[in-house]
Amino acid sequence: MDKDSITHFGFENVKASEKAERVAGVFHSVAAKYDIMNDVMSGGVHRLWKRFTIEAAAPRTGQQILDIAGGTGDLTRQFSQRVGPTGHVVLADINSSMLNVGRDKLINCGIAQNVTYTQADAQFLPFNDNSFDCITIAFGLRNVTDKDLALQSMLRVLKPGGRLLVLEFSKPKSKALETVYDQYSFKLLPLMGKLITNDADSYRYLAESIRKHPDQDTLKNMMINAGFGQCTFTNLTGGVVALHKGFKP
Amino acid sequence: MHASTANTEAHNAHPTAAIALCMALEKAIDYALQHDPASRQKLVALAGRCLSLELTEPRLAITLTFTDGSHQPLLMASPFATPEADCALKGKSQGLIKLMNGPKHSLAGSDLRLSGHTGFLMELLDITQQLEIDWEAMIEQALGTIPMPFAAAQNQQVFNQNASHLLAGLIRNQAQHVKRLAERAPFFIGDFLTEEINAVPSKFEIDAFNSKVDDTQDDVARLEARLQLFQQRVASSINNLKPKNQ
Repeated sequence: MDKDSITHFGFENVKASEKAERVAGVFHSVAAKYDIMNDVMSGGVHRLWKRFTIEAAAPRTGQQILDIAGGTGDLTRQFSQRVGPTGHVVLADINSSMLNVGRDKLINCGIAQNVTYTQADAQFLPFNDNSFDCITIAFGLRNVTDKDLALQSMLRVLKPGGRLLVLEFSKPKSKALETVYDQYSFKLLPLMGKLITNDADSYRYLAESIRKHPDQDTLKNMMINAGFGQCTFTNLTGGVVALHKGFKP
Repeated sequence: MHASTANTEAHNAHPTAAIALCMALEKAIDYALQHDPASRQKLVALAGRCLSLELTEPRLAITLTFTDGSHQPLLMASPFATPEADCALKGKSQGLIKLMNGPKHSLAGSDLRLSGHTGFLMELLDITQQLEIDWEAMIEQALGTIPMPFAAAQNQQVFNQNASHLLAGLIRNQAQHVKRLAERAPFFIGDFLTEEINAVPSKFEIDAFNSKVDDTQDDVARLEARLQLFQQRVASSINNLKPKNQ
């Protein structure tokens, strides 16, 4: 994607070169209260979605894991326990504020020995080819400017046979649920953002970016086009969220 | 269901509910085993082994993996069936509940199919049936050792107890009371229906009624016999009255 080409920032069209900066602004703004907002917005269900991702990733002792857009470290914390002292987890996030919050949180939980922190852009991952057994990106892909480029970058750093798991908001399966979900995300979400973080705009962007994100089948095809094999997805909570999984051939 | 969904959706009707169940199971077992050190010790001995459950009605797949409990919960549950499990159990959910509650560890007639190490499952069922959770200690842990207020103390003995023990005692007494009630309920219900509201007759009334029915049956049988005899006599008299040359 050319830097002057037009992409979306929520429902707004912006230049590709501007999107990263504006997304960064959103996450700098919400980083401090990101965990609280996640609990409030999802009623705690985000913990179930993340735990499901961990189980689907099936990390083994001694494995190398990359948690892209790892933010406040929810997945990294569990991966760290699963891979043990012989394994290693890299928590990567493009946003320094989110990374700082995640690092402080994990250190406070006593997790330090097998985790490293990297400020990295998912489109240009600063790792050697074939480095990781498993890569996860939870609620991060929709904020990436060029998703195809990011998927190709993930494929490159994944070991042959390694798996990629993409946990992301998606399209609800039922019309009724979609209607309720629309009302919730466009009316209640910005209101909650205003009350808790004093930032309605960031949470309005969240709702809009979810609608602009590819649906289940489109994302699956994007993964196949990037070169992943055995691509599947699982709808969670009626398709509000979907977990895509693919393997490097 | 979408053709391209992963195996878990094929195995779990509701993946989000399945993972919630797994997490609740882990927490509940971990919490309960804090109050049953003997069972905990037995389960630690199973570290590294796993049991896979693939159930129907509702459709549910869970893999239970035992750890030594040092860094992770003693029991880890995952909503994915694994072919690497030491033991796999497939069948209806109801069958599993019966197996866990039943006095004998028999799969006969339960429609459950077992593959892998049978001994592992039997060992596990033995442990679950021998669970002796110190639930009084659980209450005490939740409430803390709250001393009884002086005014509430009836005597010195009660005063020396704390609120948790009293609550546990109250629950135990109530449980015994409910158990006694359940044992005596059939008699109470019988008396109430027959004596109080006369909804159904008593056994004495039913016996008397049955006796009357028997008497009537006998009377009818006797009457029938007499009628047959009378019929025979009439027929015989008619035959005797007929002229002999005809």
